[in-house]
Amino acid sequence: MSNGPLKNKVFVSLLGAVTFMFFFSFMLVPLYNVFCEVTGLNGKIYGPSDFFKKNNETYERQVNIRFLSTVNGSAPVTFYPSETNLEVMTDKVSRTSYIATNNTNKKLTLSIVPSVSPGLAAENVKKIQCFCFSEQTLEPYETQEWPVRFYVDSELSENVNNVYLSYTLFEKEREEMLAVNHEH
Amino acid sequence: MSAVVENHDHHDDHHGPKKGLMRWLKTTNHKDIGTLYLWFAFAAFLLGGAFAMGIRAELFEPGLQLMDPIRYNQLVTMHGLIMIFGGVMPAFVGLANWLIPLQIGAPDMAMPRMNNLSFWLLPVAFGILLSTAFMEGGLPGFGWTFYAPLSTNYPNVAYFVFAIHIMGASSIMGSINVIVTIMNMRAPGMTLMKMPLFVWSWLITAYLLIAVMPVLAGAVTMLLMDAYFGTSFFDAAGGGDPVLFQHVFWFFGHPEVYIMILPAFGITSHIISTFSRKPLFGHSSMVYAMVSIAVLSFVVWAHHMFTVGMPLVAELFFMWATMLIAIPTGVKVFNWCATIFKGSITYETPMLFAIAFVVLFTIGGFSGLMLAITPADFQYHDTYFVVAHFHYVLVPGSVFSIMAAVYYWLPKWTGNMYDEKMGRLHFWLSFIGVNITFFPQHFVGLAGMPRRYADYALQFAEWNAVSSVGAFLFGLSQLLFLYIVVKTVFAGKKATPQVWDGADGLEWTVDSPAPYHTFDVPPKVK
Amino acid sequence: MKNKLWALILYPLSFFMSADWLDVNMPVGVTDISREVFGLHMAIFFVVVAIGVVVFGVLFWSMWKYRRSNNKKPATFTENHTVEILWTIIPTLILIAMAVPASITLKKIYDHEAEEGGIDIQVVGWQWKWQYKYLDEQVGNKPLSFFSNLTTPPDQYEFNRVEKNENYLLEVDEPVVIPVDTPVRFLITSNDVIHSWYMSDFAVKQDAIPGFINVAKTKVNVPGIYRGNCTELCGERHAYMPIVVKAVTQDEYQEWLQSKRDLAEQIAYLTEKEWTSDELLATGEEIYETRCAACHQTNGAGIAGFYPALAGSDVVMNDKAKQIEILMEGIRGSQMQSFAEQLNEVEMASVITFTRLAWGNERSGDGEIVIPKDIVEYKETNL
Repeated sequence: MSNGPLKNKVFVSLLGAVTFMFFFSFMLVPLYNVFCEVTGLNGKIYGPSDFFKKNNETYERQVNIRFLSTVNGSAPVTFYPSETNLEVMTDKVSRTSYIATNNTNKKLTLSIVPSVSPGLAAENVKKIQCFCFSEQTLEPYETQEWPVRFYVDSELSENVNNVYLSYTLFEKEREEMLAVNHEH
Repeated sequence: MSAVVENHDHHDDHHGPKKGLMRWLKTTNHKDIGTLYLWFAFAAFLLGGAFAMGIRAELFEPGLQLMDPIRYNQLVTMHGLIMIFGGVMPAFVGLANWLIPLQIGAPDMAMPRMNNLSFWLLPVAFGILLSTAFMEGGLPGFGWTFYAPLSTNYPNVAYFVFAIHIMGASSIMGSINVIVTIMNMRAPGMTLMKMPLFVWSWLITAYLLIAVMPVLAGAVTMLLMDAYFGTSFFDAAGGGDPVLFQHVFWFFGHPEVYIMILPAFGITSHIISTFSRKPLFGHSSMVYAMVSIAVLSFVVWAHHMFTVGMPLVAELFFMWATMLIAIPTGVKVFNWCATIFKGSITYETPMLFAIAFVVLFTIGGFSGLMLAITPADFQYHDTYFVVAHFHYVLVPGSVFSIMAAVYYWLPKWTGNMYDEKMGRLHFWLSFIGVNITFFPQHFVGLAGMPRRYADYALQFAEWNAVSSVGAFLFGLSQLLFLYIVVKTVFAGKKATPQVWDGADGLEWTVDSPAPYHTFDVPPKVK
Repeated sequence: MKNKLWALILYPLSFFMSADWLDVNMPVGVTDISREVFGLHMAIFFVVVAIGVVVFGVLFWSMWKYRRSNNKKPATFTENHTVEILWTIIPTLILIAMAVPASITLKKIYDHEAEEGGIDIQVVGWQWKWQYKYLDEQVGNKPLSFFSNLTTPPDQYEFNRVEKNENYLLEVDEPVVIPVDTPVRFLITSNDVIHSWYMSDFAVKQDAIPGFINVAKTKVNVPGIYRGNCTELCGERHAYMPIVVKAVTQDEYQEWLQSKRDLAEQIAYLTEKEWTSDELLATGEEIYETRCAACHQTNGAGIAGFYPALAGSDVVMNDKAKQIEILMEGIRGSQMQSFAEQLNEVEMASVITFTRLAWGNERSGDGEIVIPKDIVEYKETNL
């Protein structure tokens, strides 16, 4: 190798391959998200939907949605759906809500993440308004009712008549407040 | 290993090796570096083996007799990391360094200085990893697969990440070296299809390493960022997904296990052919089979993840693709049998290890095929059935092939024959030990015992006791191996260049021990 | 000398004779799916055994017949196209034959559609216990929810202090009760790291992943008690969070539900009454052993670098309010969970009282006890 390794084609192409594969692993992150959106893997659903984008041909049918809640990291928040079940018609907007209570005398910042099961249904559950789109804050001892407006589009696979929509609540920040008296 | 014998026929503008410690620190000689890798691997094998004995000692009876579960999880984790990254992989690299230049008629590797760096990075990496033992929080205890989010918040994970990065760099540089050497430095007349199978196996392995070690680097970097820089690759709270970790990791992890077996396939082909005194059956289909296995290895990763909740379509695909790998692997096993068939066979130690490899690796392959059946895998996953499977393919698989290689080529490296009686004793103790250790693990796995358990329910007690006895037998037998190797370095019946009646290849045309510099003038290959 | 030799042989032999050697295979299980899975397992097992017998048979026979002393002249052939094609095609056909029934069973497992009368149970994996929420059954105004903790005492698993009982490491305080012949859907998730919910008798195993739910469906045909394990490394006590499922008749299931509702009322009543410190201590010690001793240790000394000591702790001895706060809210960024959901007011008060009085804390600290009403008061100030 009297001309040095950098002149050798094989060496340079191998270096290129290594670099490519390293960046490829980071590309897996958005690729994974795209794949999940398309296939509904792990029931991931993203962002708000525009209600007005839909087909004219609708095949209306009834779907049962069951709402679940999980509090992650044993956060001191009581979090549950206001109704456990809803029978909805496809393509018709429905509304429900979740109730969250801060059980501490500290201010809590929370992030709530949805998950749909079966994964097949994830792309068909379209949320128009959801508390999961942004972080939520609960003042000490505060209770809030968080609405969700959504519809199930009629492209939902025929094999699916029962859908589970689950929200997991994560605590992002816990802020000590200076001593305050509370009137309730 | 001294290779001090100088070849007087050569013009002397190179001398023999330097004397003393600096020789080993600064060497760019492929034989020296091969020796360094092999001794490093042997040391790691003994250390990883000591951890295994700790694990099996604790598992001898139900209950916690020797350690708390935190310590136990650390032993399990370190056993895996040390055996894979310190034992098997460096051993194969050591063999590559010693044998590839000799087998293709090249004077050394293409990039000798990078070769030196590749080796010396390993003790540094392991130093970093093992130093966590002296820190608060201790050694990593999240399993060698370090799934997020358990690993994200684990103490000292940064040191683990740095160690992996450095080991990865070492492997990548080594692989680049191997490919450039093979592609550029074969002796005239040695076409790719005339290349010995060990060299082929390493060519393919090196490409796999190039493709997937950077992905491991990506995975640990993402982990580091999640742990220290507030990102959420694997954290659902920030829009990430713990399962993403598993996909990235196993995209590396599956090809990794083929990286750990392909060189074994190469070694086995050489040894079986030599001791059957018969050319290898189906040379080109052996090459194609290895290539198919390597290519297929990229599309089966999620068979490690059948229970994470993937959609049906994905599970079906990964089941079918995984089952497919049985075909080229079967072809290889049949070809080895066909090589033996109608041969004229003797059973020296390398041959004993090679045949044991064929039989026991195949048994490991059978349990692998069972694991591929997804609905059945819902029962097997994360139980001792999996532990039994991968130990069969790794211990009487990879490790036996490394031992076979050592016995086979030791006379070439040292100029001395090893003691055949002791070699056979080592073989039989290891063979019996390995089966007593791992066969019962199929039983407890099927009966439902999960893996990575420091303690277990009473119905698993009997077979665990048996397994532990086997482990101690196997473990202690390796001290015999150490003795045999050390003894051979210094003494033994003098070896001829040919060493084995029936051996074929350029390495058998040079003296035993091989001179410090060989093939300064490339040989002509017909 | 002769007697000692016999003893040396007979003792281990007797050990081997009495033992549970026959536990070598997967259970057939008690659901239709588990039976199918067992069938697939045995089928692929017999296939590989058959292949092994043939291949190893040929190999071992060749090894003996063609040993050098028996065959001085080796053959030289290196190919045989017929044979090579056969041993590629035949394995392929065998694999296809296996893949078909496997795919059919997998599709059945994935069919989670609701059936008449099915029940949904949310399963949450915690470090290191399981929580179950019956989504269809209300107790008061919330779904029935309880935690399932290992009850094997540390004395049995630490250093063999006490002999192990039959269900060692497979027993819990609150089993999951389900009716037989009823489709049950488990909606599995995690509170912290990845766990995995595994019941071998149902052939059910699904990972519990924080932020996501995985569904596993089963229908148990035979009443009985079934035991399972966590099967994903989740930290120190991965081996200590078993699963117990009790499958009962529909009537017994309704009775059990009712008993849960009655229990809730009873707790509410118990909270109101006056408690003596002895009563609190008795319950408290029991709870401490099951819920706290794993980390804080039976002697309250904790593990340096991981879990703080409670014996001699300033908070435990002198700061009632802070201690209640820690148990109710957890310590963010540490392993200390909030126990508000895991312990009711009576249990919470008992265990806090126990720690305040045990290990010499009573003498060195303020020695005050905490009664259930204190917990209620803490909760009420939060509304």
